[in-house]
Amino acid sequence: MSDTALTDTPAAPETAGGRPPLVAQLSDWQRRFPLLQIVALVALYGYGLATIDGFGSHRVLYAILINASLLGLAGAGQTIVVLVGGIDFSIAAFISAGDVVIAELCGTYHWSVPAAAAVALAVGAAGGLVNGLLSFRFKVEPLIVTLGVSALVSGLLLKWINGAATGVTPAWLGDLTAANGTTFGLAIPPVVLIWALVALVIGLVLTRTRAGRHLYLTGVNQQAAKLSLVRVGRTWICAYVASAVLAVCVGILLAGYSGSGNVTVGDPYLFQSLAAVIVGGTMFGGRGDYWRTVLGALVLSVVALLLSAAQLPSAEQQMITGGLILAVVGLYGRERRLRDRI
Amino acid sequence: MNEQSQAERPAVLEAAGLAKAFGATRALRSCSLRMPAGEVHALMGENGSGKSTLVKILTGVHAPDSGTLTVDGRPVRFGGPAAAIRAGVMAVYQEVLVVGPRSVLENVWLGADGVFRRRVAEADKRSRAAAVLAELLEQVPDLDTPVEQLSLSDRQACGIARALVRGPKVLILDEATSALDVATRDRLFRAVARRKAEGMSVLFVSHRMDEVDAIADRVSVLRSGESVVTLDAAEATTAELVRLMTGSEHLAGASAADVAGRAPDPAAPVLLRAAGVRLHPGAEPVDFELRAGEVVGLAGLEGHGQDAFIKALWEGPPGEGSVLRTVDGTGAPIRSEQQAAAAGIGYVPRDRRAEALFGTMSIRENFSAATLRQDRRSGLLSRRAAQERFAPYRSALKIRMGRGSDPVSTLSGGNQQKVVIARWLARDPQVLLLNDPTRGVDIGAKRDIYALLAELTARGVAVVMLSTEVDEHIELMDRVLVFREGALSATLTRAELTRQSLVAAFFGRTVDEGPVSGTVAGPDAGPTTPALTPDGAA
Amino acid sequence: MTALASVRALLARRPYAFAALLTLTLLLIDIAVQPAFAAPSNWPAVLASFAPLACAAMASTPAILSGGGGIDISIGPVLTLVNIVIVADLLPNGLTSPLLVVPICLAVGAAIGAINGFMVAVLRFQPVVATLCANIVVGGLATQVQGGSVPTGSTGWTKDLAGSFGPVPGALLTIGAPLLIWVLLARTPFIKALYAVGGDDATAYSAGMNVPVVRIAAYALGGLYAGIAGIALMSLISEGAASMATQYTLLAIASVALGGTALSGGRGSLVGSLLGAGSIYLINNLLNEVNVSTLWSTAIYGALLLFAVVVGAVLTNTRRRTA
Repeated sequence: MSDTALTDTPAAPETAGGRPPLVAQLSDWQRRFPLLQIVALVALYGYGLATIDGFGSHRVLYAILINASLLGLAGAGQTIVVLVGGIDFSIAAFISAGDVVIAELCGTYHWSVPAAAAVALAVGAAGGLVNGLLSFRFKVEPLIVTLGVSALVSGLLLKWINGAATGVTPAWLGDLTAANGTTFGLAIPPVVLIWALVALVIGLVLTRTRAGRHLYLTGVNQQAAKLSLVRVGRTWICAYVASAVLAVCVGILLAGYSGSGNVTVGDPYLFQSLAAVIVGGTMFGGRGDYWRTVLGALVLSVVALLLSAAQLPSAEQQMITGGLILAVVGLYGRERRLRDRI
Repeated sequence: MNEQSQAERPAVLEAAGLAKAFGATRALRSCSLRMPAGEVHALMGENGSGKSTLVKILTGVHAPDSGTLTVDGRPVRFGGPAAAIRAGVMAVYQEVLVVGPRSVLENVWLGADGVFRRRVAEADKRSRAAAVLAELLEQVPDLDTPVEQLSLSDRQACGIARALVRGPKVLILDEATSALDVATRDRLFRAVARRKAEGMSVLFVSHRMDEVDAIADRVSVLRSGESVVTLDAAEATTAELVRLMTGSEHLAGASAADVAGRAPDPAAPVLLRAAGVRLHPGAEPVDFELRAGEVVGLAGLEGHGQDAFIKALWEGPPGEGSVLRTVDGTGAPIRSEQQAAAAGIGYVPRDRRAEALFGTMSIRENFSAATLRQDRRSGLLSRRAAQERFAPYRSALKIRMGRGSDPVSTLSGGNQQKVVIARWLARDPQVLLLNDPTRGVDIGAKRDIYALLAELTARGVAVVMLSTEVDEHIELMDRVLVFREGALSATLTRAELTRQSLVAAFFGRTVDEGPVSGTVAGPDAGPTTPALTPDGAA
Repeated sequence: MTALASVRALLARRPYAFAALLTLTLLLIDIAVQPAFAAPSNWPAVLASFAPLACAAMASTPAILSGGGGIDISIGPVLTLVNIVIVADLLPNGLTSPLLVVPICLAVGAAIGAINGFMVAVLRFQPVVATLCANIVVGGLATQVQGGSVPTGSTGWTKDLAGSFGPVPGALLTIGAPLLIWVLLARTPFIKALYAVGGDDATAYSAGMNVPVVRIAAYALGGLYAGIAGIALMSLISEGAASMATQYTLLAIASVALGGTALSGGRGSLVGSLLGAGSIYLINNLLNEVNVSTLWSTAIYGALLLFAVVVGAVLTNTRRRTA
C-alpha cells in the first residue's frame, strides 16, 4: 500500500501475471472461495478413513472436532486482528489467564463460575484495550506491544498464584469439552456447538455488518478508511479487545478440559492460532474471513490426528506440520512480484 | 541538427511489433519504435494506451510476449532492470523512487555496485554525484543528508541523477517531470540537451504539450496498445496530437461548455464559510465563501497551500481560524471529517491508491464504504442493496467494469476515480471537495467527470476542485483561488481567467507586469514543497 | 520543548541512542545496587550469561532490516538446534576441535537462514509465515536431536567461552564475532544494499539491484549469527535446551525493537539490537539482584518493555507502522 503510482496499469497483473487461463481462473476462484482448503480437508480426512482403522468412528471425529473447536476459537481473535492489519502475540497469555482465573477463583476461593468468568473476561477486555491503545495511539509495532502485554499478564498471573496453580475447576465445566458430552440430549460435545455458534456469529459480523466491514476497510487501507468516515482507532482497539476476550473464553473452556489451572496451558496456541489463520488463507490486512480460519483449524486438527495415529514421535509430527503449512500457503498465499510493484 | 537525417541515422534502440498481455487484457498489441542516437523522442497516449507497459518492457521489468527489441543493432532480451541498465537503458518513473532513510549519495549510486563487489570507487562517487546534481539543482544538498529530508522535487532530481551518473545510451523519462518544480525541470531540459549532443537518446513520456514542444525532436503516439504514428515535433500541434490520441478535437469536450455556459447565481445561499484560516503559522489568513451551484478552482504552484486549504475545508483548519458549516444554517465549526460529512460535505482525496482505494476489495465494497448504513436489510448488510444503489451511478458516470464483485484494482485509473466519486455522491453531498480528481485519468474519463460537474452544479451542489491543469481552471471554473506561499494571493473570476493571468498569478504577478510563460522559463518558484507530501509534512 | 526537540533530533539520527541511554542507566543502577557486579572478576560470567541473548538479538536484525515485512521468528529454534547438535551429536562423537565444531555450527545456522531467505525472496512467502514454519520444523528437529533425555557435555574451549581465555572474557568472542563480521561486510557494498532493499525494495529493483540475493544473504547472515548464539548458549549451560527456543525468539525481537530498529525495515542498526538486548538482560539481572521475588520478574519485564517502547515511540516520531 505504500507505493503511490497514479498511472493506471490495466488489469492488475497481480492476479494473472501472464499465467495460462486455467490457472488464472483457478486462482480467481481461490481468491473468492477457500477451495483449496476444502479439498485439502476432504482429502486428508479421506486418507485417514482409507488407511486407519476406526478413523470414521464418532470418538475420533469428536476428538478432531474438540481439538479444532479450541484451536478455532483461539484463532478467532487472531483472525480479527490479522484482518485489521495487526498481529496478536498475547493470545497465549490470555488463554492462560482465563484458565488460571477460573481454576483459582472457583477452586481455591469458591466463587461461582459466572462471577469468576466475569472477572476473567474483564481481565481480557482490559488487556486487549492496552494492546489496542498502545499500538494505535503511539504507533508502536503491534508485535512488540502484544509481546509486552503477554509478559505482563503471564507475570502477574504467576505472582498471583505464587508459581503454581492449586485450584480445581467445577466438573460441569469439564463436561463442555468432554468427547462423550451431550448437548440437550444430542450426542455432540457442547464445545463443538459453542464453536459452531461462535463461528456463525463472528462470520456474520465480519461479512454482513458495518462493524465487520469497517474492520476490513481499516485493514486494507487505514488512511482511505479514515477518509471514508471509518473511525479507525475505535475499530483497531475493538479488534484487540475482541481478540483478548475470545482468548479468555478459550482459557475458560480449557480450564474445564484439563480440570485444573495451568499458567502454561496457552503456550501452544501462540503460534498455532496464527497457523490456523494462515492455513485458512486469511492474509494480513483485510483479505479472508473467519470461515477460512474454521477450515484452517479443522485441517490442522485432522493432520494432528493423522500424525499421532501414525505414531510418529512428536518431533516428527511437528516437522511435518510445519512443512504442510508451507505447502498449503505456497499454493495460494504469496506476495506480489517486485516487478508488479513498480 | 539536421531534422531530415534523424530517421535515417542508425538506431540505438529499436522495438518492433512488441506485444504484452496481462491475463485477458492486452496492454500492448503491436508497438514499434525507432530511436537514433542523440534524439529526444516524445511518447504520448492516453492512460491505458500502453505507454507504461512499453516503458516496462524497455527497462526489463516485463518480458514481451512477442516482438523484438534491439539495442545498437543487437537483439536483446532483458531478464530484469539490471540487464537493461547494463545494456544502457535506464528509466526514471513518475513515482519518485528513492530510498527515504538513505543518503543522497547512496540514492544516486543505488544499484551501481554488485551485492558484494564494488564497481565504482567511493571517491569517484562523491565527485560525480555532486557534478550531476549541480546540473539539476540550484543548490546541491549535502550528499550525506537522508533523502527523505529533501523536497519531493529534489528527491526526484536524485532519481534522475541516479540514471545520469550511469551514462545511459537511452534515458527514459516516464512522466518523471511531473514531480519536478519548474526551475529544476528547466535545468533538467538543459542537461538533457547537453547529453543529447554527446549522443544520449531520451524517450520522453509526458502528458504535457508544453514540455513536448520544448524538448522533443519527434513524437510517437500510442493508442489502445498500438503505435499510431511518429511525427516530427514541428508537425505535432496540440490539436493534431489530441486527435491522434483520442480521435476527437477538444481537451475538455462539449460537456465543459455546459459548465462554462451557465452563470452562477450570486444570490445563492452560502453553503460553507472559511474565516481566518491560517495554513501556516505566520501566513496570511484565508477568508472564503462557497455558494450553492458554484465551481471554485484551487490553483497555485505545487505545495503553496492549495492542498492544505482543501484539506482544511474537510477536516478543519490546521491552526487558527475556522471553517463554518452554513449548509444547514447552524454555522457550527467543522473540526473533523466526521463533522464535515455530517454537514453534507464530501471529499475525494488526491492520492487515489494511498488515500481512497481499498485495492483488494471489490468495486461494490469500494463504492459503499462511506454509506454502509443504507445497505442494511433487517440488520445485516445486503449485497443486493449495494448493487442496486450502485447501478445508477455506474450508468451515470459511465463506469466501464465487469462484475461488481471484481476487485477494484482491475479497473483503469479513470474508472477507479469514478468509483471513488460515486462513493461520495451516494451520500448526496451539498458540497463536494475534489482534490485533483483528474490526475492520472485518461481523457475519456476526464470528460465524464466534467459532465458530472455540470450536472451537480445544476442541482445546486457546490464544488471546490483543486487542479494542476491550467486548462481545467480556464474551461470549468466560475472562479479560481490562487495560492502562493501558504496564503491566498489572488482570486480570478471567470471574466479574468486566461492562461496568462492564471500562470502570472502563480508567480505572484499580474498580467500587466509582462508576459510570464511560466511553463518552461518561469522565475524561481520559491520554496516548493510539492504535491504528494503536502505542506508541513516534510 | 527545545530539549525534547533536540532529543528527538538525536534519536532520528541515532535511533539506538534511547537503548544506549536505557542500558547505561540500568547498568549504573545495577552497579549501585550491587557493586560486585562491576568487579572485573565478575565480567566473564556476566558476559557469558548475556552472550546468547546478545547474539540472538543481532541474529534477528538483518532479516528485519531487509524490509518487506521481513522478520525471522525461527532464530530461537535455530540457536537451540545448534546448541543441541554440539552437545548431543558432535561432542559425544569425539568432534571437539573448535576448528570443526564452529564451522559446522555456523554452516547449519547459515543454511537454515538461507532457506528462509529463499522462501521469502524467491518463493515470495510472507516472512512471518515462512519463518513460522521454519520455527515449527526446526523446533521439531531440535527436539528430535535432543532425544528423550537432556544431553549434557562440554569441552575445554566451550568452558573457556563461558569463562575466559587468559585475561579476555570468552564471551567477548561470541558477542564480538557478529559485530566484526558486520564491520567486514560494511567494507563491501552489501550492508548499504541491505539498507536500500529494506528501505524501498521496488526502488532498489528498478535501479538494477539484485534484491533476492540481498534478502537471501540477509537471512543467511541472521542464521549464521544464530549459530554463534547457539555456541554461546551451549558453552553457558553445557546441555541441550530445546524448550528455550520460544523464549529466545521473543526476547530477541523485543531487543531489536528496543534498539530502535523499525520492523518495517531499512532503519536501525546491529549495535541498537545489542543495546536493546543489554537493556533486557540488565532488567532481569537487576530484578534478581534486588531480591524481588522471581515471580515478579516476568511481569516487570513486560511492563518495562511496554514503557520503553512507548517512550521510545513518543521520542522518535520517525518510527511508523507501515499501513
